[in-house]
Amino acid sequence: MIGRWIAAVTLLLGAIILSLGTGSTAIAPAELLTLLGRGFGAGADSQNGQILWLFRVPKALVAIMAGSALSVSGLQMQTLFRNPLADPFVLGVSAGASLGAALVIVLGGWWLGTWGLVGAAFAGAMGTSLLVVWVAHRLRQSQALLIFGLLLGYAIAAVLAILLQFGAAERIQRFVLWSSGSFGGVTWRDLPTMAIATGLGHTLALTLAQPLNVLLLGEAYAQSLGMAVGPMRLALILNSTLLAATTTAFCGPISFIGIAVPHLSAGLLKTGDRRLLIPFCALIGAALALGSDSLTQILGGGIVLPLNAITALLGTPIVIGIILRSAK
Amino acid sequence: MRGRWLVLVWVTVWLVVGCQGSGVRPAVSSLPEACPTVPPLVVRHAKGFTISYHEGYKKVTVTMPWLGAAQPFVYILRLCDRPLPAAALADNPQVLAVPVRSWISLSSTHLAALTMLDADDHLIGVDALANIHDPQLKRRSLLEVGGSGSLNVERVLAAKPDVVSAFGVGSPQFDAHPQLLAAGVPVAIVSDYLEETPLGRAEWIKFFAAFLNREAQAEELFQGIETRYQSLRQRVRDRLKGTGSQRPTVLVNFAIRGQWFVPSGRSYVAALLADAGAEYFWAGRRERIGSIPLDWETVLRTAGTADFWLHGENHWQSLSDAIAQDERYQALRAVQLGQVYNNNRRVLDNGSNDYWERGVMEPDVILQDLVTIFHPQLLPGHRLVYYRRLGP
Repeated sequence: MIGRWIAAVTLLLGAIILSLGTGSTAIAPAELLTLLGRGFGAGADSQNGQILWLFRVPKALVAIMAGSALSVSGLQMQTLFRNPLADPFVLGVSAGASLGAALVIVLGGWWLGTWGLVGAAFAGAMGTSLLVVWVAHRLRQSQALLIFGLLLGYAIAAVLAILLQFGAAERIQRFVLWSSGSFGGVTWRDLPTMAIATGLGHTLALTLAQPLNVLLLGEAYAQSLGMAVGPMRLALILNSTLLAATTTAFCGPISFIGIAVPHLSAGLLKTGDRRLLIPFCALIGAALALGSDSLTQILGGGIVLPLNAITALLGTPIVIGIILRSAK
Repeated sequence: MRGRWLVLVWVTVWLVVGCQGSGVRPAVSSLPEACPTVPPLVVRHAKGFTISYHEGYKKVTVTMPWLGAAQPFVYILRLCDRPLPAAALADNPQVLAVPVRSWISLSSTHLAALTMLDADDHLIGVDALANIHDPQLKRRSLLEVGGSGSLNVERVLAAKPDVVSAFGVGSPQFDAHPQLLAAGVPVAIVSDYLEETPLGRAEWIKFFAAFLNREAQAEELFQGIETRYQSLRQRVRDRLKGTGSQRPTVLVNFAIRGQWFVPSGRSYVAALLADAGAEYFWAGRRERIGSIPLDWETVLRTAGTADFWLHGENHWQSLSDAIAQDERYQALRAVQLGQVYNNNRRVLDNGSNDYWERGVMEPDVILQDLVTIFHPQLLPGHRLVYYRRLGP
C-alpha cells in the first residue's frame, strides 16, 4: 500500500519536473532547482528564470489544482450516482459554465474582463447545479437525477447554439478557444482565488469522505445508520460542483479527467475506501493534467495542441476499458 | 383518401422542384445587343484571382476560394447578348450579366472597394449594419441579412440581388454560399485575406470592378495605391541601405487565454512590416498562410525584446487596458519602452474598425503609418491615420 503512495507521489513529482522543464526550450532539472531556489524576483533576471516564473510555475500550479479538483469531483459523482460514467459534467455543470462564458464572450463587453468571464462561468455552473439540487429534492432516485442533468445539458447546449448565431466571428473564435481548455490563461493575479476555492473544495471532500463510504453501501443502509441522506446528497453535489465549476471557470471545460482518474486510481490503489481514494485521486489527477499539458507542447513541435484533444486521447482508452470490463 | 395523398405528394414534389434554381441565372433580358468595350485589366500582385477577356464576356477565376479549397470558383460575366462558346461553360461557372446593378455584401471588408468604385449606390444589403464603419453607408437604409452561419436566405432571395459577395471557409456550418447558390443567387467569393502582400490584397478592387464594368476606374485607383506604396517602400529601402540604420524588431497580435496567434511569414502583415523597414520575428515561418498558434512563453522568448508591439485588442486605449487583461504583457520590452501601437484609431463605439474596412484598400496609407512609427524621420509631416500610440 505504502509503495503505491510513494509511486503516486513520484509520478506527480516527475510530471511537475516534465511540465516545468518542457516548453519553448527545455530546462534541465538542475537548472530548474537553481532558478526555483532563487525565488520569484531574482529568478526573473535570466530569460529562463522569467519564463519559469511567469509561465511555467503558475501553469503547473493551475494544472495540479484543475486535475485534482476534476478527479475528486468525478469520484464524488460516481459514488453518489453509483454510475461509473458519471462525472461533474453530466449534471450540466460544464454546460452551465459554458453558457455563462458564452454570454460574456459573445454578447458581453470587454470591460467585463477576465473576472467577468470567470464569474459568469462560475455562476452558470452553480446555477445549473442549484437547479439540479432543487430537482434532487423532488426525485428520490439518483439515476433519474442523472438523466435530468443530461437533459439539462442538452437544453443549455441548444441555447448556446442559438446564442453563437448572434456572435461576431472573432468572438466565436474566442469562445471556441475557451471551450478547448487551457491551463496557460491563469496568471499569478488570478491564482490565489482559484487556490482558495479549490482548497476549500478539497477540504470539504476529505470531510465528506466517510459519509461517502457509507453511501457506497446504499442509501437505505446509510439511512438505517442514521444519516440524513437528503442533506448529505446536497452537500456532496455542491462540493463536487464547487471543484468542477472553479476549474471550468478558470481553465474552460476539460474533458475525461473527471471520468477516467477515479477508475484509474481505484484500480491502482485496489481499495474502495473514499478516505484514501480522494487524496490518491487528487495525486493521479494532478499528474495526468500536468502530463497532458506537457504533451500539448511536446507533440505539437512548436505549435500548441488543444488540451482537450490530449485529455480525450488519454482518457478514452480508460473509459472504454471501464465499459468493456463492466459489460463482461 | 389515397387520391388526396397522391395530390399532396405531387404538389410537394412540384413545389420542391419548382423552387430550385438551376444554379445559374443568365438574366439575359438585361443584356445589350452591342458589346460594350471595357479596357482589359491586368492583375499584377494578387495571386487569388485571374481575369481574362473574351468576345462578349469575361472570365474571372478565384483560384483559392479558401484555404485548402479543392476547386476554384469560376465566373462568366456576360457583356452582351451573344451566345457563349461551349468552352466558357466548361468549368461549371456561375454565369452573370454585367454590370451588376444590385449587390449584397456579407463582409464589411468588401465595402471599401464598392465605395471607392462609386458603386455604393448599387449596394442594397449587408450582413450587419453594426459591422459597418463608413458613416455614409451607416446612414443608408440597407437591408440586414446576417453573416456566415446566421444568414437569412429568404431575405436575400426577396431582395433579388444580382450578386452577393461573401467569404468562405470551407465549412458548411459557416459558409453562406452553398445555400445561396442552391437558391440560384450568384455568389462572388472574395478571398483577399489570403493574399501574401498588401498590394495583392488591395488589387482585389479589380475583382469587384469586373462585376461592375468599372475596369478603367479600378486601374486608375489601384495604380495610385501601387505607385504611392512602392515609392515609399523604395524610400525606406534606400534609407536603410544609405544610413545603415537598423530595422526595428516588431511583435504583433496578442494572447488569448495564454495563446498567441501570430501572422506567418506568408501574410500581408509580414509583408507590410518588411516593406515598412521592420524586422518581423516570424518572417521565416513560411510553411502556412494565415496565422501560427504559439504559446506565451515561446512568444516572450522569441519576441520579448521587440522594439515595437503592434495590433493589440480592438478595445485597448492604453497600456493599462492591456495589462489589466494579462499582467504578463509587462514583461515585453516594447511595453517597458512605451512603444506599443494599436490599429484602432478609427473605431466606433460598437467596435467596428475602419482598419479592416477602408484600410484593406489603403495599404499605402497603412504603410505611411508604419513608416512613421518605425522611421519617423522619413515622413515628418505624416499624422497617424489608422494607428495610435498607447499611453500608460
